[in-house]
Amino acid sequence: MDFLLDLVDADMLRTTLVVATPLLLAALGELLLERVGLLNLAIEGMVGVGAAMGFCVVFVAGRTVPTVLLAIAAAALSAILIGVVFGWLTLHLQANQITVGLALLILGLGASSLLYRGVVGVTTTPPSIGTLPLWRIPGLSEIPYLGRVLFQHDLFVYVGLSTLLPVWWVLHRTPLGLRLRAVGESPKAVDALGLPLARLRWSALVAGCALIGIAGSFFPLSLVGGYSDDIASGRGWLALMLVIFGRWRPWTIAAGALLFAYVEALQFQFGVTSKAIPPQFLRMLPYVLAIIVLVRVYGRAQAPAALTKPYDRESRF
Amino acid sequence: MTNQATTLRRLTVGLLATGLLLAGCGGEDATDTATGDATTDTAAPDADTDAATASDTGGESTGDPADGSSDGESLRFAMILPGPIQDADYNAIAYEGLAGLEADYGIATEYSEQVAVADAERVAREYITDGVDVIGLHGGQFLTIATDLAAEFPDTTFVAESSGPMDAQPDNVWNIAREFAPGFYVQGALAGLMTETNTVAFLGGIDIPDYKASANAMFAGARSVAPEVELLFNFTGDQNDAVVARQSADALINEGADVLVLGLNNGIYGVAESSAAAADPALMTSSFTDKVTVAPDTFLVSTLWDFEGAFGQAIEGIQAGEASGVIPHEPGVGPDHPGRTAQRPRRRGDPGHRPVGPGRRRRGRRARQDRRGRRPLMS
Repeated sequence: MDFLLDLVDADMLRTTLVVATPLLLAALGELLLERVGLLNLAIEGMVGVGAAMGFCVVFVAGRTVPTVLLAIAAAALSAILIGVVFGWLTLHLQANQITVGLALLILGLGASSLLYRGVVGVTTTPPSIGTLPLWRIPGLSEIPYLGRVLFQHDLFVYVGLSTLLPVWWVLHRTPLGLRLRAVGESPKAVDALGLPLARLRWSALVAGCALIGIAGSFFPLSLVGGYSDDIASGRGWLALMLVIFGRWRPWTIAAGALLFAYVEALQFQFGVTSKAIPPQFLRMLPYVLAIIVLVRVYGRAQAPAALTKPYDRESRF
Repeated sequence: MTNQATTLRRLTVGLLATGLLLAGCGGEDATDTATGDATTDTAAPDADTDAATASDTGGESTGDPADGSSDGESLRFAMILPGPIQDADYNAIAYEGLAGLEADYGIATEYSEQVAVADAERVAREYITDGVDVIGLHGGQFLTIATDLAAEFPDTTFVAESSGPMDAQPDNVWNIAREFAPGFYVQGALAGLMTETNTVAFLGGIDIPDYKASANAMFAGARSVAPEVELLFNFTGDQNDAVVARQSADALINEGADVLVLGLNNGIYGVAESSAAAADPALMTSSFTDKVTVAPDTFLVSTLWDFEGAFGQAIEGIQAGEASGVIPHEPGVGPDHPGRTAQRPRRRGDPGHRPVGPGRRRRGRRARQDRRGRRPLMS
């Protein structure tokens, strides 16, 4: 019976939501980019830069409401900066997206480390900024079990998770969304209709990079309270995978993010309670699950047709 | 937990923290250490003094035949670090130690950081080709590389770290035989005394022998004071991933652990957050650098590790013409390095002072100190 209770433990589900938030934010950002035909492999670097920027602003300016907002804005801007370079090289100069993405990935990881060293320097006392205070929703947070799981988070978690709604609504319920999705399928058709192709692509790029940068700032501000190099530890890559996993649809991406965070938390719960299974095997579980689900869904998944393909108005095809 | 209980708990923490560090330093150092709060000490003020000493001693040592360098220039020492120097942890203490080594031994130091195991041999070869005399490899993962290169380059000396003394030590390798476990024994005893739920836990990153031994030592320590205490453990698979550390700490706290002994590096951030978000916060201990500032209310103690002293002993031996030796590196036998323990350096005339040898008396402050731990350690 203990085994079954472990599966629905309130504290574990609560952490699942917290850990899923940056995954979801970054994956939604990547979704916006891929929907307009841009495969952004620099996502892990952008998340890193966002994390370093978020930490450094709060570290220097102290933790108050305006500085936290400033830190989030700075994180978004720093990721947008990398995104602009990416857009300029791939959209304007029509460079290969994969090459540019990987180059900017390495740049981003290096820049985040450099930024942190420039601001904090070398010390043997680990600096800590603490995380945002919890905001218990009055009334709702008193509900036994559900209150603990859903309504005892900091504001970042609530806002981060609800980002799903506007992204889904814009992409799938507005004319703008239809145009954005059309850009990713056939830029030539969009161009032929006289729609502002470049403006559509650039706006999706900026919005997507902002979400990725904000996802990065979530790590120091809400999840960890400190910064170390490679703080995202591959969670940017996980977000990239979640976009495919979710078949380029916001709701399935959200389900994927929650599933991953849940299985990851679950394996630690099992790791403590059951010593019969080696921890290495348990740590492998989220990724095994990823492969199984991918094999299951990938056959039916349709990537945007123009993904990674440079568009040249003068070309005949 | 009532307020009164909390106050009492804090008081006990303070006393035990001091006690733990005394145990860590061992023997006659006890009186020196007790004067300073070692857990809140940083190396920063000491580094300034080191810089000042460096300018004094640099000229003196040049051309000193005792340097062990044939061309009359100062000994060149290169350190290979596995991670970034700003990690405020394992790599930062080694990096900060370099300034002290320059000052104390009149050597020229350089370093490479973020060197992966696959790159370490290339980096080491570049240093050797460049004429570096001594190569220090900061981490047990570089042991095989040191052994291989030592056979190929008999004129270069290597300083390699390992869990306990290394097997088949080459003639030109100084071995820092790390024993992390005794520090964890003391932390375990502290955890056993502090627990109110009668459950303590060890949380490690990668399950290498060092940390398995540490977990066992921690359990033995806990059982030594609380024979009935329940023991939990887990390994996250990553020393620095704070997110998995947080998830794993959640699971341990969920299972009732209220004291977590951490074998993590930067992963501790996540554990601190896990404890802060828990309904009943858990207490923590850590190692290497002073992590107490991360969560002053819940961090019990940090065991500080002095790598500058260990590498310093190797340099001193090399300057004295010994190409190999073993330096046991564990609580109680290391040199009493002031940057880590806030004690006044021993001066001539102090009790316990012992001149190190002719020609070396004027070279740096630390060289003037008693190196009590060194005597039985040379091979």
